[in-house]
Amino acid sequence: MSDVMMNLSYFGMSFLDPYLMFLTAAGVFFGIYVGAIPGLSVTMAVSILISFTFKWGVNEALALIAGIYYGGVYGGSRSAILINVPGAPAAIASALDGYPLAKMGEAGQAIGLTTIMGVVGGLIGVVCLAVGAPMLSDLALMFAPRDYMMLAIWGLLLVGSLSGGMMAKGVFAGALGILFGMVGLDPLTAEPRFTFGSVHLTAGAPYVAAMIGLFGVSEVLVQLHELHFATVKQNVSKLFPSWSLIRKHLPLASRCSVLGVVVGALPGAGGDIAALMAYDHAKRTVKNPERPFGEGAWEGVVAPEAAAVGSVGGCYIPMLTLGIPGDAVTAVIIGALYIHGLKPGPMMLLETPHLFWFTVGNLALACIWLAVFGFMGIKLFAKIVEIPKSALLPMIVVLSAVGSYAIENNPVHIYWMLGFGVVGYFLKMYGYQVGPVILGIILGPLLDSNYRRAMISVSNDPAEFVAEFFTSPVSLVLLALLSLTILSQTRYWGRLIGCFRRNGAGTAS
Amino acid sequence: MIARKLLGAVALGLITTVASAAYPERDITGTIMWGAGGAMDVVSRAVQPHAEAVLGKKIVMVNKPGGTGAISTNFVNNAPADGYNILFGAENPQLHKVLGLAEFDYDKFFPVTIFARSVGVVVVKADAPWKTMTELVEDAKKRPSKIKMAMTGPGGLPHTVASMLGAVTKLNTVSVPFDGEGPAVTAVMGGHADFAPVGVGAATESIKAGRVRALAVVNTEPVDSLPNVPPITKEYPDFGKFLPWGPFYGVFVRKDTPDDIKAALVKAFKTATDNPQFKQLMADRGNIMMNISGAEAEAFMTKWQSVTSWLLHDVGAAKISPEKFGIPKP
Amino acid sequence: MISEKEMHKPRLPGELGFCLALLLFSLTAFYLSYRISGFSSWSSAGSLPLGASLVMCVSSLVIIFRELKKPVPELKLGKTLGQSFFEKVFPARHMIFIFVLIAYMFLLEPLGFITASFLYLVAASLVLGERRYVHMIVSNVVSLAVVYLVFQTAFSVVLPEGILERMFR
Repeated sequence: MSDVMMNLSYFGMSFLDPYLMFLTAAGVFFGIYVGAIPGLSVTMAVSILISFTFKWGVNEALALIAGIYYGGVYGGSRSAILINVPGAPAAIASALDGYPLAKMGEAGQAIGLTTIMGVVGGLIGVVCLAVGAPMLSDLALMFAPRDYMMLAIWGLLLVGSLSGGMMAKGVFAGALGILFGMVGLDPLTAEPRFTFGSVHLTAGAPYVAAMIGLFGVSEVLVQLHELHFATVKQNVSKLFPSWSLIRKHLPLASRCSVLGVVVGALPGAGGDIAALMAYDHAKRTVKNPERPFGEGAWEGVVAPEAAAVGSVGGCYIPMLTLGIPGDAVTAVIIGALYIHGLKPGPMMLLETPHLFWFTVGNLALACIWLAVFGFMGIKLFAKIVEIPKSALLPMIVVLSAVGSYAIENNPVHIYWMLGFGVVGYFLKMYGYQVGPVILGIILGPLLDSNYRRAMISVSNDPAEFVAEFFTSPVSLVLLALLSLTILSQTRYWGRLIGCFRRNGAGTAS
Repeated sequence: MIARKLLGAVALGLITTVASAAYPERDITGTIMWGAGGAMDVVSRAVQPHAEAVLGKKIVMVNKPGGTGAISTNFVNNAPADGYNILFGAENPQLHKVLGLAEFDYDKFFPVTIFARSVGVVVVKADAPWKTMTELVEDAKKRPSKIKMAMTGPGGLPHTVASMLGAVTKLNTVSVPFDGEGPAVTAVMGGHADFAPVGVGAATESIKAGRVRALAVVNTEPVDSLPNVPPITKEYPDFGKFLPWGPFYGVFVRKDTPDDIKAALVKAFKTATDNPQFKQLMADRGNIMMNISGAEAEAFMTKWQSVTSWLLHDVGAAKISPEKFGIPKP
Repeated sequence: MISEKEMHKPRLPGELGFCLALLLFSLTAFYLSYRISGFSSWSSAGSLPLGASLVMCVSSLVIIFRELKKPVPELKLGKTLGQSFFEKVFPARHMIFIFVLIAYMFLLEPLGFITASFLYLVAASLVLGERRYVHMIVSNVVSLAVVYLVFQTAFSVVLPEGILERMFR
């Protein structure tokens, strides 16, 4: 009984201490801007905080970091919705339907809905962390390289739903993305791939610069065709989405946040992959969205946002229980814990028992602040879209350039950004979607290294490689899910081709 | 406000032209070789406040990862040699020549300090059958290409220790490369690899918790954080010729920086490295403190380069023979 | 954004050329992938690049095949294919806009962030037809100041330095 009381008091620490409360709030507030500005990442912000907070107590530092983490993951969708530049990789999927919503004047309500669903996702993530941390971390350990490989393939199947008109174009774009993801020194053997002898290429195609270029800059170039169109007046009279809209999407948001937690708990897969998989899930399960996906479906912003914010709780699981980072941000947090004299690892929760429930309470508090700050300033943000294009478009370019530069303080990333922007523009003009390209860039390296790892593990014996899939429950479950998805997609594909043929025939006659 | 800053700038300009006695007179840029969240980043940012306290000016930290360190070394090497651009770097540039990544290594730099070096440890899963290094090696020889070793890319600690192991014991395993030492330990924990040579820092906590078991530390004597783990030289004395060996972290400036500035930096970082809080952090991460600079540091780095380059060459991971650069055999 | 259906009906000028360029690119990529490590092993560094570029080759062939079935681009009277490409797909304004952007990239380091970005914003706004000069300059200065303060001060991102930046430090 006293154990429960103790845990409860740890849980309540950040709620009862005004200073911790303030730090969490400040973290969320700044985090939203860190997230919304492309090129500023949560990883970077937390890393800067390390030397800034080294004299503080560990609780204070963790409170601030938790706030920034939640704010940052949530904030990424703001710029994705408003100007089609995802502020963070986790917000890529939010741009797919969010930006079309802004073009219809619904930016305000879209942000309102992402806020609610982000908070829901975040809280579900915290609950999963509180209830299932040991179990989920053991599950994460069971993932072998072949399972990560299947996860990557599963994610890549999203190409099918992102390819727009012609499947072949989507497949091409996805493969192109994978190829871009391969540029640089091979992480397994350090062999150069497509580096053409340049040191700058050894680090590979920076995917944040690619993301900014493919989404932001290419969209700016497309918009140059529409300069004469008047800007869309944004409807900001009703920011808080109606109760029926919330209730309608609550089941989807819950499913996606659990998905987010599981993917987040896997070391090596974070919010970006979770959000993309959630978008795919939404597209497969929601049969009759109000508006089609890609043209402003509410489901298309709900699913990725819930999964992305939900994944934060998941990322904390391996970090707290095993000292293994769930993503780049938790890797920095582990560094911060060391500086504060803690020893992240399987012993940490035994040596500092308050840490677990303190973190759970703190993350829950951060979610609550998210609900508060998420609704602040939406009107102001939404006005950005109403700025005349002759002023807005150059400003987006400057922001994109600074953002690309800031990732690694490297001007070469701006060249990448422009290159991807121009390529993205022509792809868009000729009916290719840029979504699959970025999907390939993100998932290609995951597929590459894990496929090869799995192959190396069986000494390059294809027969044994196949046999290994039937040796563990995780692999079996993933294999079954993957096969089901592929099967359903082939039927879908067949229908799609049929549709296309009919359309094609129609125009030809 | 702006006017005051302007005045300040003018005044600063005047001072600069009059005398350059008091280094540092403005903020210093610290370039970190690896990205946010890496071990180098954490170590650099942990020492930064202590060094600032001695120097009396800020060190503005900038991450410039890429080219396994080639981008940052290039950047600092191209900046003026005035002590306002310092490099927080790891061991990687010492292998740039043989890996064909860059034309130069730390020979263009002066080591202000080498904080510490890390030590290798060989770990197996907690319920693995092998109790000693010899048992593991003998089993691996009995069943060639059946035991899986988790390691990382060429030049890293796991890869180099694996090469040493291969050179000394001639064991035959399947090496599965992972993304880093942490993921390698995770793979051992999950049973996706049978053993892993990793840095002590990456494994200590998992060893203490009984998730993995340590067979030997790659050192000539036991290390403080794992007092009960035997040194590898106990079973395989031939390892001695490679040791002491371990990836290192340090601060560097261009070699042609004026001597008084070098001295000021050495003094500042010597004090900062001696800070108990920083030493505790380094110990927790499984490092052995060194805090050496100048000629002593250069001697260590030269030996490191010779051991590692030739090991890489012998296992075929080097692009260019170390002989070409006049790197002597260990 | 141009809607899907609009983009798909007749072929756009240059579309077939673009597809051919993609095919050529895919073939080159396949060759370069082969050069990485040949077909040496199932797990070689070149295995996924080979696979990806093969998929690109096949899918670009399929795309070309499909495109050929589409009606030829509709050309305005008296215009060649090239002319209508530069009119519909890549007009002069795009080229100038991209040129200004390239100039901005190269001036960023020598001039410093503030100066280069200001010049870029002015040039780009002029290209886009902004004619309210005072309004333009004021809003550009204000927004640049905000960006600079947020990045440089709040997040200690060291932006490229010029004369102006040194004055503020």
